[in-house]
Amino acid sequence: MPTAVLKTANVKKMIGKRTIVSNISLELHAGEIFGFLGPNGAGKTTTIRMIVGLSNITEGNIFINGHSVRSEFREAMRDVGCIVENPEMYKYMSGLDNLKIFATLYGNIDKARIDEVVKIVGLENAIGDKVKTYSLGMKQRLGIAQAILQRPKLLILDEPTNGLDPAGIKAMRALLRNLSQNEGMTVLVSSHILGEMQQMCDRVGIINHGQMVTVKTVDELTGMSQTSGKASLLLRTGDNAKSAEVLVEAGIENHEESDGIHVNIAADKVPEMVRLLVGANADIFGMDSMESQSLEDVFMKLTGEENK
Amino acid sequence: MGNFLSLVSVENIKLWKRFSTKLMVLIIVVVVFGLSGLVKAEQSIVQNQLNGTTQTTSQASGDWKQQLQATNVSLQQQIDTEEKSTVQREKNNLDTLKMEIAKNNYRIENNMQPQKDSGFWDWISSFGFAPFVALLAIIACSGLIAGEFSDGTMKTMISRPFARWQILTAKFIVVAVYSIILMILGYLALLGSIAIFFGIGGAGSPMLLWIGGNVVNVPGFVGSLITNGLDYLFVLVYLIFAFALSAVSRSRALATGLSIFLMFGGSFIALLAQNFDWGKYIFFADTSFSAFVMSGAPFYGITLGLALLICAIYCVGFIFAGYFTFAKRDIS
Ligand SMILES: Nc1ncnc2c1ncn2[C@@H]1O[C@H](COP(=O)(O)OP(=O)(O)OP(=O)(O)O)[C@@H](O)[C@H]1O
Ligand SMILES: [Mg+2]
Repeated sequence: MPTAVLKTANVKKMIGKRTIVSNISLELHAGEIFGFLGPNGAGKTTTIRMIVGLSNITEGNIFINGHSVRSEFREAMRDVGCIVENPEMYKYMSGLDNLKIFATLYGNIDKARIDEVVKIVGLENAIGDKVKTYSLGMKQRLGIAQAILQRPKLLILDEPTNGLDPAGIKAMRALLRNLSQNEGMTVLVSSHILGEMQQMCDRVGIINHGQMVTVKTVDELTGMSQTSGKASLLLRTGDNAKSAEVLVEAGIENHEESDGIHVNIAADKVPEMVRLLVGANADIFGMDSMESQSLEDVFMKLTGEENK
Repeated sequence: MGNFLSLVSVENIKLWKRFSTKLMVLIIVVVVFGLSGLVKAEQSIVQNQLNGTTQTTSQASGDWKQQLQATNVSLQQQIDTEEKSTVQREKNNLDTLKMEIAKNNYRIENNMQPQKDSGFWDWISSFGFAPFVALLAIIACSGLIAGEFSDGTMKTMISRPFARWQILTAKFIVVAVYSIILMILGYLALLGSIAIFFGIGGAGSPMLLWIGGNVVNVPGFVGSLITNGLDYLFVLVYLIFAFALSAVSRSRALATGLSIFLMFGGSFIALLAQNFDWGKYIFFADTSFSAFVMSGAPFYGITLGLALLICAIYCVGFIFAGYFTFAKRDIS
């Protein structure tokens, strides 16, 4: 088996007497996109800060391509590109000058590569401006540019969608997919929104209260949301109030919301429900599965937030 | 791994891309010219008043040796009484007195009549613009080190193929070079401004320096290099202090403020420290290195060598504290 691109072995972080994270053991393999999920304060940033050397490892060790972050820091960092929380750049310099100085640090990055990443993140028009004039989203893009500049084997992004508009989020998903498929980059991306991760990640690790709750493939997680045999549907009809009434009469659990009727029903009862509505002369304009919603339910269940 | 010289060049770019860095280069030149202009203006006012009241008595050229000998006799008496004293404060100008006697004897033996006006090189040596260089270098240093913490950019620098000590070293090299540039520019500006405002009278004459208890006769230019070199060591001590404090406190305001306070307050605190035997072990009481060779040790019980040694020990301590905390602590 090839060495894992990132391996954390029983990592623990204590600040003062307080244990922030413990028993974090992960292995990321070449080319995979790994979603690092957890609610606010779960310990995602703390773990990432240890991986990239910002913070001391209290116990355990972290290896990047087999290099120990503790004892072979420079070798380990050679293969890493990252953004931790907000990407902080030199505000008094232009975006281009920022990229140039980071390029200098690695020694083998030419002008063409800089232009290429600028194009990848879509900053061509603003790259000559001072960073202090950038919007949050533009800073985030510049942060991604500096992280991928040296074609790292391991790319670590801490909540990278923070501050991006929907088009930006979509573009970033496509970018990460592309980097992993075409450049073989391994990506660790943290988020607290599972729905954001499911389309993009191969595997997902869920952390809560400083402990890994589970590591699963996205398929396994999706499976968990369906094993119950229940379907969550969003129904839009010509007259929602009337349709809801019909459903209530038939004993089908639902509630009317501004975007339509939310229906919870056994999966095998769906055709029956449709026939019922058609029979009642309801005009059905749309029926969507609220898959991500139920994935969030799984997430909530796993992180135990549901019981609070 | 990462090439250290690349790291140094990156830090250099960061320093010079700041507007203030370029501005400070201009400031040092303007300050030196401005101060010499002020001194000149003041001097001509005093000169006018003197001309109005008393006539300067011109000495007959033959009896200057006898005068010096007479002075030496009274200086020696002063030394004799002071050496008997047990109070530190009363012995503080002993070295200066000894220097005066030695210089006078040297002049008599070598037939060198004391100049009535300060010569060109005396101006260059005693002008004392070094605190301004230190001030500007401290500002640059705190900006490049503590400033990266306050701006949050330090974390963008850490996850790179460089050890933390390399990052800190690169920063120090860049700032030290910057301080040398400021010092050289200040020196050149001083040469220019003194020549313009006071002329180059005495530019050919030698300088008598007081080194290790001996009078040393050097060409004026060499003498000015020695004194300004010692002034640079003064700059370096406070720069190292600011450097270490930046790395330890991570606060730009604290690092800049405390370093500058100690430097300018140093001479005041030195006045107090001079009254005590242990005063010399406070580093900022010892940092006026160039004064040792021009006007003798500023207080009793200190020599240039000892002052340099004490400051060097402090600097090693500062540097150690700076590197240690920078390497160990979490970066947020
Ligand atoms: N320097 C510190 N001192 C004390 N506690 C800290 C420190 N840094 C983080 N913590 C605590 O550690 C826990 C984990 O924080 P962390 O920033 O890793 O969470 P996170 O998963 O990144 O959350 P978010 O989604 O909000 O970014 C939090 O409870 C936080 O209060
Ligand atoms: Mg976080």
